[in-house]
Amino acid sequence: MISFHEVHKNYSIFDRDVHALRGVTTDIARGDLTFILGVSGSGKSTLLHLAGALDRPTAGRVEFDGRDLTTLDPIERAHLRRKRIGFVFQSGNLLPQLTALDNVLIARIPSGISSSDRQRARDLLKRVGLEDRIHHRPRQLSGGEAQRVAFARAFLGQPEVVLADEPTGELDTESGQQLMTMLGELRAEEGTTVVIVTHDLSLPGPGHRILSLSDGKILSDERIGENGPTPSPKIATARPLSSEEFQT
Amino acid sequence: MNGLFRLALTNLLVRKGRSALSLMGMAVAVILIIGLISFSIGLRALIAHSMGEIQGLQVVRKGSPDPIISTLDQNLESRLNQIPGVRFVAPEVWHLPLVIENRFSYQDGVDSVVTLIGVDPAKTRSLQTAGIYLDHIQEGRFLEPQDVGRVAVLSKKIAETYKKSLGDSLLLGNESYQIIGIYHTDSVVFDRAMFTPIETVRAVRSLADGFVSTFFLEPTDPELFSDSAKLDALAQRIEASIPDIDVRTPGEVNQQASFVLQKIDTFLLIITILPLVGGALAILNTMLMSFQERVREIGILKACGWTSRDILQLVLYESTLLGVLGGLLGIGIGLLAAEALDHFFLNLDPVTPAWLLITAMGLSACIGILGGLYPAYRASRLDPIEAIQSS
Repeated sequence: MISFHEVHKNYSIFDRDVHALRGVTTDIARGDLTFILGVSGSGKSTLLHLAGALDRPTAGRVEFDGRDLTTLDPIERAHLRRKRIGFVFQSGNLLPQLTALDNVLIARIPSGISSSDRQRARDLLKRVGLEDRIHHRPRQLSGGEAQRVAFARAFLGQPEVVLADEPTGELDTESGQQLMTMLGELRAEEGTTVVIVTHDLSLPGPGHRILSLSDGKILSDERIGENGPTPSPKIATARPLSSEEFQT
Repeated sequence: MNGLFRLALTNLLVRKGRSALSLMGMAVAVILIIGLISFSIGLRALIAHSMGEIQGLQVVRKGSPDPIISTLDQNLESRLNQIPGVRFVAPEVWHLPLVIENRFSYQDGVDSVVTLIGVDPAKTRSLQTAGIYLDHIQEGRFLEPQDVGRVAVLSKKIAETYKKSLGDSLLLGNESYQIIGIYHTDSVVFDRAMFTPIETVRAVRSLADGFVSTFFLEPTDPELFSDSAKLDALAQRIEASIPDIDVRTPGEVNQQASFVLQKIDTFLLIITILPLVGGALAILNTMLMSFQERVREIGILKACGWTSRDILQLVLYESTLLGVLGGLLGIGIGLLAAEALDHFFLNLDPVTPAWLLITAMGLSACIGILGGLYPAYRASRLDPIEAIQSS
């Protein structure tokens, strides 16, 4: 569904060149639950931004359903994000002046909000356990509740893929686990491809893939099936990150 | 309600204090526009209306801007009477008393100024269509031929200004005038005059017998006043017959007043541009601050699929709303303030035509758009990644 072909991404920060990605090649298949792991600066968020058409690679190609994202103009990229991709960020996902319901509907504002959109937003908020918080504003919600609203928003347009950048990063362990469980349920119900950049490996059951990045390269690609880990044949020799590296 | 519009309104309401300041900045500009231009239009209409009521021509010494500084030989009266098209000639002596009731007459502005006009009562009473003061007597009577000395007919406004009633005396300089009649034309142009016998004003001005300030001419054909070309032709004929005089038609006086008003309008335009620029800067400042605070929010919107155009539209909606709401506020306060000023201080009957309100609203909206253009452009150009990663 999303393919990376020899993708490079360079930044220049304070006159210093940073190579965030160095020739990454991988595929994210439809329906997959993929966790991207790596230390800070390993390129995992950059990979997510490229997958979501928020950024362009310096070299290489990123394809979404076979279409090269680098050939799309800004409007086409915005429409792709609006219709086929959902985003969740670490924090500050919500507009403080809007209610939970309006935050869920935010992507629909420019094109007009239909009654079916409104109904789906209410259903999603109910499914994430916030039916009694629909008209609350972000300051009236806990961090976990705010992230649940963000997930409801990401799923509103029945996107083909939801990309989450450290969604539990600022939550306590219990709230983080609840959020992951809820995400697993939503994914199962909607059949959505989900890619999560995280340090949190308290996963919602078997059947997922762990992609480890280090210094802009894929270090390991492991599929956790019903019967335990199955390393990807392409990079079976790659070394998985140690728990200390995850904590860094 | 359009979702973008609703969000724009919500964004303004969230920052109530700042939005209110911007609204006030815009409102002050509109108040000035409405107030100043309403008074200018009102004054213009008043002068035009007043001039329309004058059914006569005014003769002054050539080059005299005002009858008060004009001196003419009264013997001209018979020559003027012989000119075809002239029905009747009434001589007048004008004077501007500087001290009234022991106070400087300009002390309270134009409201307290009085023009003393000496007339020959018999001749003034013989005017058929031009005697507007005679037609508007409210109390007492107009001057009679037998009236001599310091008797006066004055306007209701002058009487009110100096708190006088019929039968009271009004002190001009050292001379006391008994009020025998009060008129009311409801025109700021005419309601500044006080009439007394011509000999009385001659004495006050130390003017020798046989001299007057001006002649008031009534044409034979009153229909001339609806045909300015024919009236101008009569005025030119009189000027050609008698050298060293100017004959002024009501239209000419109106034109002179309009010329002065045009100069005033240009000045007003310059004066009103400054607060408009201030209003635009207030909106620009508000929108820039709002933009700085909402960088991450804009990044989230872009991640959710908003295009640069959507962002541009949202910011412009906000700034335009500020302009339009400020304009509405300004119009409301401006209309009330103009009425209040007119009622309590100016008595100039401000006129606020629909085009002025529409123009003020249009200007407000344009100022709002202008003030929002730069912040909207910057917001729309934000890189979503940088915006999301900003704190």
